[in-house]
Amino acid sequence: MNRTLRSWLVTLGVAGLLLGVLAAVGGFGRAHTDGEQALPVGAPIDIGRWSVTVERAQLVNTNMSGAPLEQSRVVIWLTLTNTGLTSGYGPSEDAIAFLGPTGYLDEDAPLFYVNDPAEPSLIGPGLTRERFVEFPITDADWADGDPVKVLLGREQPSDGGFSNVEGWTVSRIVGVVRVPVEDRRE
Amino acid sequence: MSGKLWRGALAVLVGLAVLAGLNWATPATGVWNLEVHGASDEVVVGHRYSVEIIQVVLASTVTVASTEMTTSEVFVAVNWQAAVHGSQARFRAVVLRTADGAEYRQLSEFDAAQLPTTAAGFTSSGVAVFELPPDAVIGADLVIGPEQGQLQSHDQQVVVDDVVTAETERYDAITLNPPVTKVTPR
Repeated sequence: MNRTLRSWLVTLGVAGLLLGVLAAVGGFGRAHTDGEQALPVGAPIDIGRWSVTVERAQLVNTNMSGAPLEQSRVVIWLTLTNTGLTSGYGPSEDAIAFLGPTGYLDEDAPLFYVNDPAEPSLIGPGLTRERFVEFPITDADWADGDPVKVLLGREQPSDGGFSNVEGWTVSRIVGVVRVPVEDRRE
Repeated sequence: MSGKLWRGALAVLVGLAVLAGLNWATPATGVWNLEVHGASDEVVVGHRYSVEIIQVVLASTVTVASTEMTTSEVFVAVNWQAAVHGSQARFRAVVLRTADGAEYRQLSEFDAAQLPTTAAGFTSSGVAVFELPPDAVIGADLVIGPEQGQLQSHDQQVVVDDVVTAETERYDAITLNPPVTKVTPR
Protein backbone atom coordinates (compact mmCIF):
# COMPACT_ATOMS: atom_id res chain seq x y z
CA MET A 1 0.00 0.00 0.00
CA ASN A 2 1.51 3.28 -0.95
CA ARG A 3 1.83 6.14 1.49
CA THR A 4 -0.83 8.40 -0.10
CA LEU A 5 -3.46 5.66 -0.08
CA ARG A 6 -2.64 4.80 3.52
CA SER A 7 -3.00 8.41 4.70
CA TRP A 8 -6.36 8.67 2.87
CA LEU A 9 -7.57 5.47 4.53
CA VAL A 10 -6.47 6.70 7.98
CA THR A 11 -8.23 10.03 7.40
CA LEU A 12 -11.43 8.32 6.28
CA GLY A 13 -11.22 5.91 9.21
CA VAL A 14 -10.91 8.76 11.73
CA ALA A 15 -13.74 10.66 10.04
CA GLY A 16 -15.93 7.54 10.12
CA LEU A 17 -15.13 7.03 13.79
CA LEU A 18 -16.10 10.63 14.61
CA LEU A 19 -19.36 10.29 12.65
CA GLY A 20 -20.08 7.04 14.48
CA VAL A 21 -19.59 8.73 17.87
CA LEU A 22 -21.77 11.65 16.71
CA ALA A 23 -24.52 9.23 15.63
CA ALA A 24 -24.23 7.25 18.86
CA VAL A 25 -24.91 10.36 20.99
CA GLY A 26 -27.91 11.29 18.86
CA GLY A 27 -26.30 13.96 16.74
CA PHE A 28 -28.25 12.94 13.67
CA GLY A 29 -31.59 12.74 15.45
CA ARG A 30 -34.40 15.15 14.85
CA ALA A 31 -33.63 18.61 16.17
CA HIS A 32 -35.12 19.16 19.63
CA THR A 33 -37.61 21.92 18.81
CA ASP A 34 -40.29 21.97 21.45
CA GLY A 35 -41.05 25.66 20.88
CA GLU A 36 -44.57 25.09 19.68
CA GLN A 37 -45.52 22.33 22.08
CA ALA A 38 -49.21 22.75 22.93
CA LEU A 39 -49.81 23.20 26.64
CA PRO A 40 -53.17 22.85 28.41
CA VAL A 41 -55.42 25.61 29.69
CA GLY A 42 -56.15 25.35 33.41
CA ALA A 43 -53.14 23.23 34.36
CA PRO A 44 -49.99 24.44 36.16
CA ILE A 45 -46.92 24.71 33.94
CA ASP A 46 -43.46 24.80 35.50
CA ILE A 47 -41.24 27.45 33.94
CA GLY A 48 -38.43 27.50 36.49
CA ARG A 49 -39.03 29.94 39.32
CA TRP A 50 -42.76 30.21 38.57
CA SER A 51 -45.58 27.80 38.01
CA VAL A 52 -48.10 29.36 35.64
CA THR A 53 -51.70 28.30 35.12
CA VAL A 54 -53.43 30.07 32.25
CA GLU A 55 -57.06 30.13 33.40
CA ARG A 56 -59.17 32.03 30.86
CA ALA A 57 -59.29 35.01 28.52
CA GLN A 58 -61.98 37.58 27.84
CA LEU A 59 -62.63 40.42 25.41
CA VAL A 60 -64.14 43.37 27.27
CA ASN A 61 -65.14 46.94 26.55
CA THR A 62 -65.97 47.86 30.14
CA ASN A 63 -63.73 47.92 33.17
CA MET A 64 -64.17 45.76 36.28
CA SER A 65 -66.72 48.17 37.73
CA GLY A 66 -68.76 48.30 34.51
CA ALA A 67 -67.65 51.69 33.19
CA PRO A 68 -67.18 51.79 29.39
CA LEU A 69 -63.61 51.77 28.04
CA GLU A 70 -62.35 53.94 25.20
CA GLN A 71 -60.74 50.92 23.58
CA SER A 72 -61.62 47.22 23.94
CA ARG A 73 -59.19 45.00 25.83
CA VAL A 74 -58.27 41.39 26.05
CA VAL A 75 -57.91 40.21 29.64
CA ILE A 76 -56.01 37.01 30.46
CA TRP A 77 -56.38 35.45 33.90
CA LEU A 78 -53.48 33.52 35.40
CA THR A 79 -52.67 31.68 38.60
CA LEU A 80 -49.05 32.21 39.57
CA THR A 81 -47.13 30.18 42.14
CA ASN A 82 -43.71 31.43 43.14
CA THR A 83 -41.57 28.28 43.13
CA GLY A 84 -38.31 30.21 43.46
CA LEU A 85 -36.47 31.52 46.49
CA THR A 86 -37.12 35.26 46.10
CA SER A 87 -40.25 37.40 45.95
CA GLY A 88 -41.44 38.66 42.58
CA TYR A 89 -44.44 40.05 40.74
CA GLY A 90 -44.55 37.36 38.05
CA PRO A 91 -42.50 35.86 35.25
CA SER A 92 -40.16 38.17 33.36
CA GLU A 93 -40.97 39.44 29.87
CA ASP A 94 -38.52 36.88 28.49
CA ALA A 95 -40.38 34.01 30.15
CA ILE A 96 -43.95 34.89 29.19
CA ALA A 97 -45.42 36.58 26.12
CA PHE A 98 -48.96 37.09 24.90
CA LEU A 99 -50.00 36.90 21.25
CA GLY A 100 -53.26 37.83 19.53
CA PRO A 101 -54.36 37.25 15.93
CA THR A 102 -52.01 39.95 14.63
CA GLY A 103 -48.98 39.23 16.75
CA TYR A 104 -47.56 40.21 20.12
CA LEU A 105 -49.98 41.98 22.47
CA ASP A 106 -47.29 43.14 24.87
CA GLU A 107 -44.62 45.50 23.67
CA ASP A 108 -43.09 45.93 27.10
CA ALA A 109 -42.78 43.78 30.19
CA PRO A 110 -46.23 42.55 31.22
CA LEU A 111 -47.82 44.08 34.31
CA PHE A 112 -49.53 41.54 36.52
CA TYR A 113 -52.59 43.18 38.04
CA VAL A 114 -54.21 42.22 41.32
CA ASN A 115 -58.00 42.03 41.26
CA ASP A 116 -58.36 42.41 45.03
CA PRO A 117 -57.11 45.85 46.17
CA ALA A 118 -56.52 44.47 49.69
CA GLU A 119 -53.99 41.95 48.43
CA PRO A 120 -50.25 42.71 48.14
CA SER A 121 -48.86 42.74 44.61
CA LEU A 122 -45.60 40.99 45.52
CA ILE A 123 -45.72 37.19 45.55
CA GLY A 124 -43.35 35.53 48.00
CA PRO A 125 -41.77 32.08 47.63
CA GLY A 126 -44.34 29.31 48.07
CA LEU A 127 -47.33 31.63 47.62
CA THR A 128 -50.00 31.22 44.94
CA ARG A 129 -51.94 34.21 43.65
CA GLU A 130 -54.46 35.01 40.92
CA ARG A 131 -53.36 37.77 38.57
CA PHE A 132 -54.53 39.21 35.27
CA VAL A 133 -52.87 40.96 32.39
CA GLU A 134 -54.73 43.14 29.91
CA PHE A 135 -53.93 44.69 26.55
CA PRO A 136 -55.82 47.16 24.36
CA ILE A 137 -57.02 45.69 21.06
CA THR A 138 -58.57 46.87 17.84
CA ASP A 139 -62.04 45.31 17.55
CA ALA A 140 -61.66 44.63 13.83
CA ASP A 141 -58.51 42.58 14.45
CA TRP A 142 -60.30 40.01 16.55
CA ALA A 143 -62.48 37.50 14.68
CA ASP A 144 -64.82 35.04 16.39
CA GLY A 145 -62.89 32.06 17.72
CA ASP A 146 -59.45 33.65 17.66
CA PRO A 147 -57.52 32.41 20.72
CA VAL A 148 -54.92 34.18 22.78
CA LYS A 149 -51.59 32.41 22.66
CA VAL A 150 -49.47 32.47 25.81
CA LEU A 151 -45.86 31.65 25.02
CA LEU A 152 -43.88 30.30 27.98
CA GLY A 153 -40.12 30.01 28.33
CA ARG A 154 -38.12 28.25 31.01
CA GLU A 155 -35.94 30.46 33.18
CA GLN A 156 -32.64 29.39 34.68
CA PRO A 157 -30.27 31.28 36.97
CA SER A 158 -27.47 33.29 35.46
CA ASP A 159 -24.45 34.46 37.44
CA GLY A 160 -24.45 37.85 35.76
CA GLY A 161 -21.04 37.43 34.16
CA PHE A 162 -18.78 40.44 34.62
CA SER A 163 -21.47 42.58 36.25
CA ASN A 164 -21.75 40.06 39.11
CA VAL A 165 -25.48 40.87 39.33
CA GLU A 166 -27.29 37.58 39.48
CA GLY A 167 -30.30 37.20 37.26
CA TRP A 168 -32.31 34.82 35.18
CA THR A 169 -32.19 33.91 31.54
CA VAL A 170 -34.62 31.92 29.44
CA SER A 171 -32.96 28.70 28.37
CA ARG A 172 -35.69 27.28 26.12
CA ILE A 173 -39.30 27.65 25.05
CA VAL A 174 -41.59 25.43 27.10
CA GLY A 175 -44.59 25.71 24.82
CA VAL A 176 -47.74 27.61 23.94
CA VAL A 177 -51.11 27.72 25.68
CA ARG A 178 -53.93 28.53 23.25
CA VAL A 179 -56.69 30.05 25.33
CA PRO A 180 -60.24 30.36 23.95
CA VAL A 181 -61.45 33.93 24.30
CA GLU A 182 -64.85 34.66 25.77
CA ASP A 183 -66.31 37.73 24.05
CA ARG A 184 -67.92 39.89 26.74
CA ARG A 185 -68.08 43.08 24.74
CA GLU A 186 -71.42 44.84 25.11
CA MET B 1 19.09 21.93 27.96
CA SER B 2 21.04 25.08 28.68
CA GLY B 3 21.14 26.73 32.12
CA LYS B 4 19.36 29.81 30.75
CA LEU B 5 16.43 27.71 29.60
CA TRP B 6 16.22 25.96 32.97
CA ARG B 7 16.16 29.29 34.77
CA GLY B 8 13.37 30.52 32.48
CA ALA B 9 11.30 27.39 33.08
CA LEU B 10 11.87 27.68 36.83
CA ALA B 11 10.73 31.32 36.79
CA VAL B 12 7.52 30.32 34.98
CA LEU B 13 6.86 27.53 37.49
CA VAL B 14 7.47 29.85 40.45
CA GLY B 15 5.10 32.39 38.88
CA LEU B 16 2.40 29.77 38.44
CA ALA B 17 2.89 28.60 42.02
CA VAL B 18 2.51 32.19 43.31
CA LEU B 19 -0.72 32.62 41.28
CA ALA B 20 -2.09 29.31 42.57
CA GLY B 21 -1.25 30.36 46.13
CA LEU B 22 -3.00 33.72 45.72
CA ASN B 23 -6.05 32.01 44.25
CA TRP B 24 -6.15 29.59 47.17
CA ALA B 25 -5.65 32.26 49.82
CA THR B 26 -8.21 34.78 48.46
CA PRO B 27 -11.60 34.37 50.16
CA ALA B 28 -14.57 33.88 47.82
CA THR B 29 -16.36 37.11 48.69
CA GLY B 30 -19.26 37.80 46.34
CA VAL B 31 -21.73 40.65 46.78
CA TRP B 32 -23.86 38.73 49.26
CA ASN B 33 -21.13 37.06 51.27
CA LEU B 34 -20.05 40.09 53.26
CA GLU B 35 -22.34 39.71 56.21
CA VAL B 36 -22.39 40.84 59.79
CA HIS B 37 -24.70 38.85 62.09
CA GLY B 38 -26.28 39.56 65.43
CA ALA B 39 -29.11 38.49 67.70
CA SER B 40 -32.51 40.17 67.76
CA ASP B 41 -31.99 41.50 71.29
CA GLU B 42 -28.73 43.29 70.55
CA VAL B 43 -27.47 46.15 68.41
CA VAL B 44 -25.91 44.73 65.26
CA VAL B 45 -23.11 47.03 64.16
CA GLY B 46 -22.36 47.21 60.47
CA HIS B 47 -19.75 49.43 58.89
CA ARG B 48 -22.34 51.94 57.59
CA TYR B 49 -25.15 51.60 60.12
CA SER B 50 -26.16 49.80 63.30
CA VAL B 51 -29.43 47.90 63.38
CA GLU B 52 -31.70 47.23 66.32
CA ILE B 53 -35.03 45.38 66.43
CA ILE B 54 -37.70 47.26 68.39
CA GLN B 55 -40.63 44.83 68.08
CA VAL B 56 -41.88 42.05 65.80
CA VAL B 57 -45.54 41.02 65.51
CA LEU B 58 -47.64 38.83 63.26
CA ALA B 59 -50.98 40.00 61.85
CA SER B 60 -53.66 39.12 59.31
CA THR B 61 -54.56 42.73 58.48
CA VAL B 62 -52.17 45.67 58.37
CA THR B 63 -53.13 49.31 57.89
CA VAL B 64 -50.85 52.23 57.19
CA ALA B 65 -52.10 55.65 56.13
CA SER B 66 -54.97 54.89 53.70
CA THR B 67 -53.72 51.41 52.76
CA GLU B 68 -55.24 48.31 54.34
CA MET B 69 -54.09 44.84 53.30
CA THR B 70 -55.39 41.46 54.38
CA THR B 71 -53.81 38.06 53.90
CA SER B 72 -54.83 34.45 54.26
CA GLU B 73 -51.14 33.77 55.03
CA VAL B 74 -49.46 35.94 57.67
CA PHE B 75 -47.95 39.41 57.71
CA VAL B 76 -44.74 39.81 59.67
CA ALA B 77 -44.29 43.41 60.80
CA VAL B 78 -40.74 44.18 61.91
CA ASN B 79 -40.32 47.49 63.74
CA TRP B 80 -36.61 48.28 63.54
CA GLN B 81 -34.21 51.17 63.60
CA ALA B 82 -30.92 51.99 61.99
CA ALA B 83 -28.35 54.46 63.28
CA VAL B 84 -26.36 55.58 60.26
CA HIS B 85 -22.70 56.32 60.91
CA GLY B 86 -21.24 55.81 57.47
CA SER B 87 -22.50 57.25 54.20
CA GLN B 88 -26.21 57.82 53.51
CA ALA B 89 -28.26 54.60 53.52
CA ARG B 90 -31.45 53.89 51.58
CA PHE B 91 -32.61 50.54 53.05
CA ARG B 92 -34.29 49.37 49.85
CA ALA B 93 -33.05 45.76 49.96
CA VAL B 94 -34.78 44.58 53.13
CA VAL B 95 -35.85 40.94 53.19
CA LEU B 96 -36.96 38.30 55.64
CA ARG B 97 -34.97 35.13 55.07
CA THR B 98 -36.50 31.87 56.23
CA ALA B 99 -34.71 28.75 57.42
CA ASP B 100 -34.84 27.16 53.94
CA GLY B 101 -33.16 30.17 52.33
CA ALA B 102 -36.29 31.72 50.79
CA GLU B 103 -36.19 35.54 50.77
CA TYR B 104 -39.34 37.62 51.18
CA ARG B 105 -38.99 41.27 50.18
CA GLN B 106 -40.72 43.95 52.21
CA LEU B 107 -44.07 44.89 50.69
CA SER B 108 -44.07 48.17 48.80
CA GLU B 109 -47.72 48.83 49.71
CA PHE B 110 -46.50 49.73 53.20
CA ASP B 111 -43.73 52.08 52.11
CA ALA B 112 -45.36 54.85 54.18
CA ALA B 113 -44.09 53.01 57.28
CA GLN B 114 -40.68 51.97 55.96
CA LEU B 115 -37.34 53.46 56.91
CA PRO B 116 -36.55 56.48 54.73
CA THR B 117 -33.21 57.34 53.19
CA THR B 118 -31.12 58.36 56.17
CA ALA B 119 -27.98 60.46 56.31
CA ALA B 120 -24.99 59.83 58.53
CA GLY B 121 -25.53 61.03 62.08
CA PHE B 122 -29.24 60.24 62.08
CA THR B 123 -31.29 57.31 63.35
CA SER B 124 -34.48 56.23 61.56
CA SER B 125 -37.08 53.82 62.85
CA GLY B 126 -39.92 52.29 60.88
CA VAL B 127 -41.69 49.06 60.01
CA ALA B 128 -40.98 46.54 57.27
CA VAL B 129 -43.91 44.25 56.44
CA PHE B 130 -43.53 40.86 54.80
CA GLU B 131 -46.10 38.26 53.71
CA LEU B 132 -45.14 34.63 54.40
CA PRO B 133 -46.75 31.23 54.68
CA PRO B 134 -47.50 30.77 58.42
CA ASP B 135 -45.41 27.60 58.66
CA ALA B 136 -42.30 29.40 57.36
CA VAL B 137 -42.02 32.30 59.80
CA ILE B 138 -40.37 30.78 62.86
CA GLY B 139 -36.63 31.39 62.85
CA ALA B 140 -36.70 33.92 60.02
CA ASP B 141 -33.81 36.41 59.83
CA LEU B 142 -34.04 40.09 58.90
CA VAL B 143 -31.52 40.87 56.17
CA ILE B 144 -30.68 44.45 55.24
CA GLY B 145 -28.76 44.07 52.03
CA PRO B 146 -26.59 46.45 50.03
CA GLU B 147 -28.07 48.36 47.13
CA GLN B 148 -27.37 46.13 44.17
CA GLY B 149 -26.31 48.05 41.11
CA GLN B 150 -24.95 47.07 37.74
CA LEU B 151 -21.38 47.14 38.96
CA GLN B 152 -19.90 44.86 41.54
CA SER B 153 -20.47 46.11 45.05
CA HIS B 154 -18.60 45.08 48.17
CA ASP B 155 -21.05 46.77 50.49
CA GLN B 156 -21.96 44.84 53.57
CA GLN B 157 -25.28 43.33 54.55
CA VAL B 158 -26.53 43.23 58.10
CA VAL B 159 -28.36 40.13 59.31
CA VAL B 160 -30.41 39.98 62.48
CA ASP B 161 -30.92 36.32 63.33
CA ASP B 162 -34.20 34.75 64.45
CA VAL B 163 -36.38 37.86 64.57
CA VAL B 164 -39.51 35.66 64.57
CA THR B 165 -39.85 33.10 67.33
CA ALA B 166 -42.61 30.87 68.68
CA GLU B 167 -43.28 33.61 71.25
CA THR B 168 -43.84 36.35 68.66
CA GLU B 169 -47.26 37.87 69.34
CA ARG B 170 -50.03 37.54 66.76
CA TYR B 171 -52.83 40.05 66.20
CA ASP B 172 -55.84 40.09 63.90
CA ALA B 173 -55.15 43.65 62.80
CA ILE B 174 -52.49 46.28 63.42
CA THR B 175 -52.04 49.90 62.36
CA LEU B 176 -48.59 51.23 61.57
CA ASN B 177 -47.23 54.71 62.22
CA PRO B 178 -45.05 56.69 59.83
CA PRO B 179 -41.27 56.33 60.26
CA VAL B 180 -39.33 58.66 62.54
CA THR B 181 -35.87 60.13 61.97
CA LYS B 182 -33.88 61.75 64.77
CA VAL B 183 -30.35 62.94 65.33
CA THR B 184 -28.38 60.01 66.75
CA PRO B 185 -27.53 60.80 70.39
CA ARG B 186 -23.81 60.96 71.04
